[in-house]
Amino acid sequence: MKKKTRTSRHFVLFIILATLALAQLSWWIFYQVGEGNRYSVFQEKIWNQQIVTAELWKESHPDWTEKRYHTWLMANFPDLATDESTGAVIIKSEKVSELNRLSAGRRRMFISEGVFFSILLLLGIGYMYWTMRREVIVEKQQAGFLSATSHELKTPITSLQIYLDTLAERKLSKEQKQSLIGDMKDDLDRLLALIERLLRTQSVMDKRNRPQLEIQNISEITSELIKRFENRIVAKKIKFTCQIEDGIFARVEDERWRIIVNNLLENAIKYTGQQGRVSLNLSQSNNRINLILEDNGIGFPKREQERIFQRFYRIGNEDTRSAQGTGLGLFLVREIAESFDGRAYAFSEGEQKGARFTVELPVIKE
Amino acid sequence: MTEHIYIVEDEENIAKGIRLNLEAEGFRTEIIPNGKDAIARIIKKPPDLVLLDVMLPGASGFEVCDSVRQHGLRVPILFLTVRESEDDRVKGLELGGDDYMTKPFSVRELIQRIRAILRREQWYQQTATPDNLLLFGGNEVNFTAYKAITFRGEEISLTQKECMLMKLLVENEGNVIDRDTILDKVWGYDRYPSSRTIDNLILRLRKYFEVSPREPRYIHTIYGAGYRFTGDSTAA
Repeated sequence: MKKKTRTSRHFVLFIILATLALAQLSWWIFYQVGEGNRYSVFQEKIWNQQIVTAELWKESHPDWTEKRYHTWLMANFPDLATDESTGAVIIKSEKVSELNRLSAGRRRMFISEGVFFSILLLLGIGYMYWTMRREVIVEKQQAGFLSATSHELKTPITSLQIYLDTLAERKLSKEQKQSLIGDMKDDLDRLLALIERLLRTQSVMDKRNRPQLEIQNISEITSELIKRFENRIVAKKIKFTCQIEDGIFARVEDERWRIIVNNLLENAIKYTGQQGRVSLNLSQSNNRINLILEDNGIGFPKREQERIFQRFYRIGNEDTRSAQGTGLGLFLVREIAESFDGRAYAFSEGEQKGARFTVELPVIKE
Repeated sequence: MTEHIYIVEDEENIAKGIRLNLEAEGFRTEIIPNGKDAIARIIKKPPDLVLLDVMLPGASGFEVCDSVRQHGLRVPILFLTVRESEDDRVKGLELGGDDYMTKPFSVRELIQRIRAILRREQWYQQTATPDNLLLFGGNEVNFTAYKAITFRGEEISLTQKECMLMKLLVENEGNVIDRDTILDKVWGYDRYPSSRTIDNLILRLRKYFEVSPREPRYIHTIYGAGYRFTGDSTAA
């Protein structure tokens, strides 16, 4: 709620800044155009005064001759001339058109410069707004990640503390003790898995750790990895179908390919209800290798299909979310797939309509 | 009679551990792993106390608490959550939670707090006055219904804390009650509220029940000591 208010505050700030900048620029254009007009009027006034002065010169020099007058006029007021038919002093026509041209040119210059600066300014302010907005979103996602991670850490720790207190202070039967110890092991595993996931993320994110790409039999690696999930699939009574084509080779890093399969399968099991369906398919066609994980679980709204790959992004309200997680799993899947020159994308018909995740890898050229 | 406690918690191991300990202490328990189900269950069959997680599927713990209070149920609620920010704590208590504990916690402390809440509840349930009604200065306070009719003839609803503070003052009519006793009896925990909250509560009670709240006839502040209630028989 608070973050939303911050975003709208940024929007209001953007509108205010844009309005002020445009107002200032419009005033500047208006002022400069006006200044050009004032200059023309001023120039015309000077010329008129020069004409009066020239007339006065004639009157104060009764012995004037045409030639003397002309020489004096040229020396003092080069913009003026004598009308040949009437003999009156006039402004040279080329001077008048030069002034008009100058004035129109100035007007054009200020208007075009004004428009250019307006666009530049609006782009700048818009960019500022966009950056600020992005920052708020990232901040929000990071806060969500911290909150989710702290929840993920504290939950097993809480359970461990309760069980330790219980073991220390209660008289328990042997069976009760065994059961508690079993649960404590689960909690420890959960903690270790979280820490491992965070470290792996760090390692993938570290640009110095480029993947060590080697040609690997990913059919074998995938089949082996699936075995680790068997217990959970059975416990959740999930109908699991698995089709892995034999002997698919790809240029990947073993460890990171495991992260892809692990995260996708983990998500499919996590977001599919009891007795749901999950399928894994690894196949190769002429020009690409496809890993497809499909489930009939909670799915996601179509508009979220890009966002779910963003770092720290998690669907739904944090307070009422039932599944554990930190918002890193799919982000890693995409990052790693791209580091293998492949891509990862997702599809869902909508909430509660299941989901399909695809990782595409290039086929090794012979 | 053994008290019945609902453990509203979606983490199986935590719920199981709490249940084991509470049952060893002689409480009856029921685990509800979903917020929506918890609302329905509490409304249908209110327990003696609810241990309530905040992050829950279905409906958050805050929504559960709010919904239960909206239904007029005063069942004591103890929040048990990983959310440790002051904002969350205040939110939980303002929504009508009776206490707020953050995870991880020691089982011993949890049981102490549960017992403290139940003791407070038991104390409140004991009738302070005949019919649990208090009459003074033309006001009528009904401690059971959390309602009052003021000397102006208005019917008002009272919060749980307002009723508890009123009851504490009435039980000690004529004597000064210090802030620590109020905190202990009405709130029962130390981090919330500030002394200011007690002052505000007293101001609210005066606004309801005093003809002139600035010159109180019934609810007095004794500077440096605490508060004193004087009923009609003893009022100056």
